[in-house]
Amino acid sequence: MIEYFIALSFAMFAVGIGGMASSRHFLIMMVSSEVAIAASTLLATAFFSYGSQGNVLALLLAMWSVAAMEVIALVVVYRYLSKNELSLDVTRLSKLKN
Amino acid sequence: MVYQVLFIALAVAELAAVALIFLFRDMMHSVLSLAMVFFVNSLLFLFMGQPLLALVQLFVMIGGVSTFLFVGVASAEASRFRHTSLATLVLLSAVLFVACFYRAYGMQFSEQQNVLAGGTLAGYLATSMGQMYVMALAMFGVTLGAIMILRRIDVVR
Repeated sequence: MIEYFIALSFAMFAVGIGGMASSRHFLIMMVSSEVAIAASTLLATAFFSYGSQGNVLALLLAMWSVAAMEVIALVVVYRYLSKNELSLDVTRLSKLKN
Repeated sequence: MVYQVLFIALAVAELAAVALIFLFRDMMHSVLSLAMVFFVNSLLFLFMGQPLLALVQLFVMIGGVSTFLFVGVASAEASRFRHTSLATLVLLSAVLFVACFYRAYGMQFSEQQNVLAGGTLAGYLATSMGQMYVMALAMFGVTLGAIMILRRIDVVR
């Protein structure tokens, strides 16, 4: 059964990284990395559930912390860009440097 | 058999939710799709026999993170433009999936069921209390740091 979980996790991870590379919206890029992190938690849980000894909770808490902090930074930057009427298109963010 | 059908249904729901993130143009819908991804992830944890992890995933990622993200996006100005090149996404994802998975395909794993099973919810939470405090402090620090940095930036158009 673990093979199915590995395949699903890799598929999610691939779409997450692919989305990050193929998108030019700031929010979508960050959300893609959230998808990659969700795939990592799924893979870690599958390995620890089916084929390992030990406690996965510490590792997952670290991953969830990273995901949560990323979302906090994302919302702050998103609101900042929107409030100042700056483009959310990352290909135009060089305008910040004048 | 039922187990496999259920897994396939959950996997299809998960991948569909991931794909919808990139198909929607409205950011609110994309964020809702991300919440759906977290929800199906939580169901998959339950499917693996890890109710504690499913519960924490629900509380942290949907109750906390997704709600915060949804409110944050909803309160800012909406932006609509064609943000993702779908052909590039499909091609890149397929290449990455093959590159990641071809080594794992056909591997034999010795399966030991449910390492976390047998304990109580209170027991697991008690042993992880220190990590949860560190997590909360780190998030609080990041919030303050992000706000302080952004207040110092001058907008140059």
